Amino acid sequence: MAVPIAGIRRPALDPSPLSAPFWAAAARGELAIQACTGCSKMHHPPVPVCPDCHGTAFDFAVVAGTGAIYECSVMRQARVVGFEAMVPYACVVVELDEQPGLLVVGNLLGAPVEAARVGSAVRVHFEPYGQGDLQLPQFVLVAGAKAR
Amino acid sequence: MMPIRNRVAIVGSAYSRIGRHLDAPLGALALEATASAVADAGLTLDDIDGISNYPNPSRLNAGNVDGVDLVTVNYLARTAPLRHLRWSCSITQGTITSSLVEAVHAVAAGACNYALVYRAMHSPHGPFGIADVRRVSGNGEFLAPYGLSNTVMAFALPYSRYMAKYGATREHLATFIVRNRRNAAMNPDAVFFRSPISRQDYLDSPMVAEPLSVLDCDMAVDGCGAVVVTTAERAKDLPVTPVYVTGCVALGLSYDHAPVQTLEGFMHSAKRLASTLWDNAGVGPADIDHLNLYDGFSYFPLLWLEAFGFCPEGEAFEFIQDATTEPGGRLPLNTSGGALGMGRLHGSPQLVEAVRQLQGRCGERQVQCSMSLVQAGSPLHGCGALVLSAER
Repeated sequence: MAVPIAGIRRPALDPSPLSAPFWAAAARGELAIQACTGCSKMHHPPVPVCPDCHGTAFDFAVVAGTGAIYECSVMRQARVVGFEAMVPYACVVVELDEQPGLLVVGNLLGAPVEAARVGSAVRVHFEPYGQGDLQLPQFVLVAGAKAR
Repeated sequence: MMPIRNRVAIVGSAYSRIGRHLDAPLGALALEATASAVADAGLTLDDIDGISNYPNPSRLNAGNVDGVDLVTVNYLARTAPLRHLRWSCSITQGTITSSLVEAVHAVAAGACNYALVYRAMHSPHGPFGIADVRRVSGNGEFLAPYGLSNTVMAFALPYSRYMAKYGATREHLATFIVRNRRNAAMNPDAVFFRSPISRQDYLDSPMVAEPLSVLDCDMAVDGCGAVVVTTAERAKDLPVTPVYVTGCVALGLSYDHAPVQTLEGFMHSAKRLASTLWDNAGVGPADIDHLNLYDGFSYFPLLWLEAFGFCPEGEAFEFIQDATTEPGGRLPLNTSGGALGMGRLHGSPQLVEAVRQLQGRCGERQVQCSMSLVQAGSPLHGCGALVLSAER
């Protein structure tokens, strides 16, 4: 497991060739999503073959990191080893502004878990992972933004 | 394409004992349920020449001891024993219904004459469903670092969207939960036999992963359900009331690429399965008078009521409020008590109940019915559904 941060022991990350550019960008403080060089469609998690055009060449496009909560859940029980100290915690699925249906997962930070609501505007926020220079993309509410 | 259209029949059904933590090992319970189903059909184990199963252990990080954590077709073949097998099948996704669909097709194609289908589930001692991910690679890289390795939370996500999109609340679902447990209270096989609950019990039940509370999740049990299928022609020679397979489908494919399960992904898959089943069976929602929809998580029946066309999309939480889906209503739903009332048995509470209701064997909870819809499984995990009929 990674070095505990604030009592949270995250699993050791073992990026694959497909996901390595995502984590390398996150280490630089950028949210980068796999994009097909043939049709420009973005995919997350990264895919080996573009399901839209069957292309196999991809870039990673840096996105704004803004979007709206698409689905969310608040974990109220210690049911995941390593995350006991974080309970209760909110997991949010964020639809990124760049493409309808393009979903990325994070925890909602900097707000009570009750603030995790479908439709709320959020932006990415990086925090140290506890493993080398890895950083974890997380989300915070955009102050004053209207829910979508 | 040649649809089944009543050419195959279910001729036997049974449960083992069902309980939270039984003294008997799972292997013994599987032997008990399968032998009872075979006897219920008026057959002997020597008649069985086909076997089909979904073998996966029912919990995360389970062991893989055959007869303890799971019961494979190999285990039953050598232990029952089944000396005359000519066909076997172990599906990788689904529930008892999807393995039954395979058996229906095998019987119709002539690969075997009498196929035994079962699902055996074990509830270990100690905490259930604790995720322990130490190292992660692949798509889990985008979930596990966030503490999103728990099954309840994974299934809470699409429900959060359903509630937000359509305005459904826990008050709405309470109607279904309470009715389900009232049905289970009339079912001697159910783990919650004679154990009804109130709306307030449900609303007060502790949250696991919002919006899902403990009472939104089926309880892990030890138990096994089993059925026997053969051709409608062979069924004539058996001392039983056959239940005919009017149509069946095993699909439940994920068509959308996403890091998590979504409401839209569920509905995309569920509607595809539903339209395929109606085509295959040659009937529609108006022909059905008994509903058995998988409720491993409480909100699933809402999605299936909409996908199968019993009500418009986004309205099932209102559709279930009146007496339509109560026993005695036009569309009694989960008269066995479902998975929430019977225990975590992966489709047996839907399948065996449909068979027994159509045979008129359900005692105090018997409803008037002639055509039953059976569906079990998650929309993205090898779901299986059947239309069963009392008349050929």
